[in-house]
Amino acid sequence: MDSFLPCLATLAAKSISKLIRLSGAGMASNLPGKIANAICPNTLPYFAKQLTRGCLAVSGTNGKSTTSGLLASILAQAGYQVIHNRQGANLIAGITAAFTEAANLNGSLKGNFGLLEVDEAALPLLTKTVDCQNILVTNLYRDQLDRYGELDKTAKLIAQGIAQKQSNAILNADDPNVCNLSCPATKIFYGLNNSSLNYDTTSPVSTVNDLSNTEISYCPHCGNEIYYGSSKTLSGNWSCLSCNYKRPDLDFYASNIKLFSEHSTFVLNDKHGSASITLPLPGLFNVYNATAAGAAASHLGVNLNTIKTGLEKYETLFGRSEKVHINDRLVVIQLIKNPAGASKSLASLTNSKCAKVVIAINDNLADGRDISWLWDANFEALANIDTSFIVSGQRAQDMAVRLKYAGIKSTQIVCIPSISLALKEALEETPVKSTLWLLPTYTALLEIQRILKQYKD
Amino acid sequence: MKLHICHLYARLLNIYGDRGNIIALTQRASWRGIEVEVRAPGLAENLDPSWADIYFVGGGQDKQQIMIAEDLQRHADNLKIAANDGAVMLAVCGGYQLFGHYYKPHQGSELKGISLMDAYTVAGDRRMIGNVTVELPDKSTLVGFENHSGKTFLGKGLSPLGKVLKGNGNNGEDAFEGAHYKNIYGTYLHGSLLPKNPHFADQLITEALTRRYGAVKLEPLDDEIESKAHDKARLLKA
Ligand SMILES: [Zn+2]
Repeated sequence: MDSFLPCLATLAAKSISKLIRLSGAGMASNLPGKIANAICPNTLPYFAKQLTRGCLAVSGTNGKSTTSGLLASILAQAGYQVIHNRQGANLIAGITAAFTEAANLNGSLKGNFGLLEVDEAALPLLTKTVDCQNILVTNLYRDQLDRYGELDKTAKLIAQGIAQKQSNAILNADDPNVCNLSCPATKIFYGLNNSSLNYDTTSPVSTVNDLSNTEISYCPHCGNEIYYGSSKTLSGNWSCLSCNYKRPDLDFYASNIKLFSEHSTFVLNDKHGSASITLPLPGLFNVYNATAAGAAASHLGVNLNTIKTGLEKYETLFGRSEKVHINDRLVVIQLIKNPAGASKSLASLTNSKCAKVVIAINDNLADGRDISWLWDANFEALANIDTSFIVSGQRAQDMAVRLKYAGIKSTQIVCIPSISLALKEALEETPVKSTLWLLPTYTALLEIQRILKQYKD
Repeated sequence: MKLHICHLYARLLNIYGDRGNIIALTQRASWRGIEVEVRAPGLAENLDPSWADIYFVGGGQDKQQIMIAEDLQRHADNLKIAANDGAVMLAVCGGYQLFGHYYKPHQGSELKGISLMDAYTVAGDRRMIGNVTVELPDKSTLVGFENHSGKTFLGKGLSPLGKVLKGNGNNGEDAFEGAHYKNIYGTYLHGSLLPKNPHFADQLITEALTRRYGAVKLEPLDDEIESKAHDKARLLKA
């Protein structure tokens, strides 16, 4: 292919993104990628063809960013030069921008492996033009229902994305809907071995009734409820009680899982052996993210020792993920966007020591305009925490109602719709050396990242 | 006093946060010292038509919806007896559709409802998604969020729940939303509906308790937080 247009597209995209940076408009712009694609629709395949070590896409409803971050850390240890789109910029424009950013103006790429975090609906668009040898799918939770319709449709989009270039699929075996994805090439299954699962399942007594356990998944074959054994979360071994569908055998798995308030330990096992891991991230969902990243790396031929080093050395970028230090206070940030993910974050919050909590709910398109899902998440878990809760964002008032009905006293609920004012108040009220938890939806998270940067500077 | 709530197919029809309606009914009763018991019969389980004061059924994904449409036929007679006896029923979205005569999809066979209400639904060409405000006959408002492609039409004798001030409502054509017959209410409003519309939640509780215990007047509650959310939702664009 002629390199003139891709080079021009790269120049334009780089210039625009420099302008955006200088203007301080923030990092979540799709504009550079859009402009590159407008100048040359082949920008993405042009660069992707230069990836000498191939390309892997990460998709699924939750955990894409952390999983690809962990995998990037492992692959860096293994000597790959990884081109990786940043968190949330996971539509075609954002992925294109990651390539123009990593390209020289002569059209050559500074990198040999593409690690692409891809929105579920964008996956078939990506694989139409880009040959991803491997596609990792984290999970299929009910999410963003107003954008994509329903779970079955999302599953079809992902399956289409996998089939188009006959990619291998690295699949979360603990999620029946992910397992069920059809894949004409090789399937690799990862999951948790929950015969050794050792974590705290005690949650505060719900003020309502036993329906508080709303994390239910349904059999993709017969539609009935899936049984997860004794585990109350959607994790580990499962089977359908109505038909014969059950979890497939695992190719790569985590065992001996122990969860702590700020980290977790577990053993990763592949067909060659095992390695003990201390992951610097809390929560069972991060054990999944690490297992997914490990399974993908192992499939690419990386050995368990290197996987261990990559995971243990994982560092989150400032404001991008779980933990930051501000004025001698620890700020833990966890994106919430659907009931299953939010309930997991709430569970890890209740297991940790926290002085203050801010929940920021926006209802922009990127957050999902329907906030009904707040009622499916287990906010009842917060009812026994002795602190006040600041609710913020465009739908702060709705969040206040949710907390009140979760059994939290009205006097404990402080409504500050402005996110910057909410953060200011929360930081003032968090004692030195204590922890502040922030639970934002996606666009609220972007706003928080901008605001916290100012605190750091 | 004790309030009996029957949440039909709670575990299979549980998308879009409709469970918030059960939470709202439960809390608003218990804050007034009224005891609450919730039962949640699932597929192939039995239902005692004399037990419940309030029936609730929500919406689900297509596959679960089809499973339930079939199972619900077993309860059709019992639910009709309860409805005629003044039991309170709230059906949201998919549940609302099943309370009518049928749902006719683009392809495949018609999904039979239980004809509790003289209404029918046909698959539409566009999905109706967005914030909704509805004006009730007493001029109070309901706020919520709709997400449906089915278009529901009411028979001549069936009253709508209210007039659409914002959004699509039943079918995006006649500016009506929901249906109301005896103490049965059908609606497309998620949100959840009842927490942000406490006056409507209290109306359901009052009707339910009055049927069992004679005229009941509920103690007023401090609804400042709920009112703020209601007022905020009224300002949202469709
Ligand atoms: Zn099954």
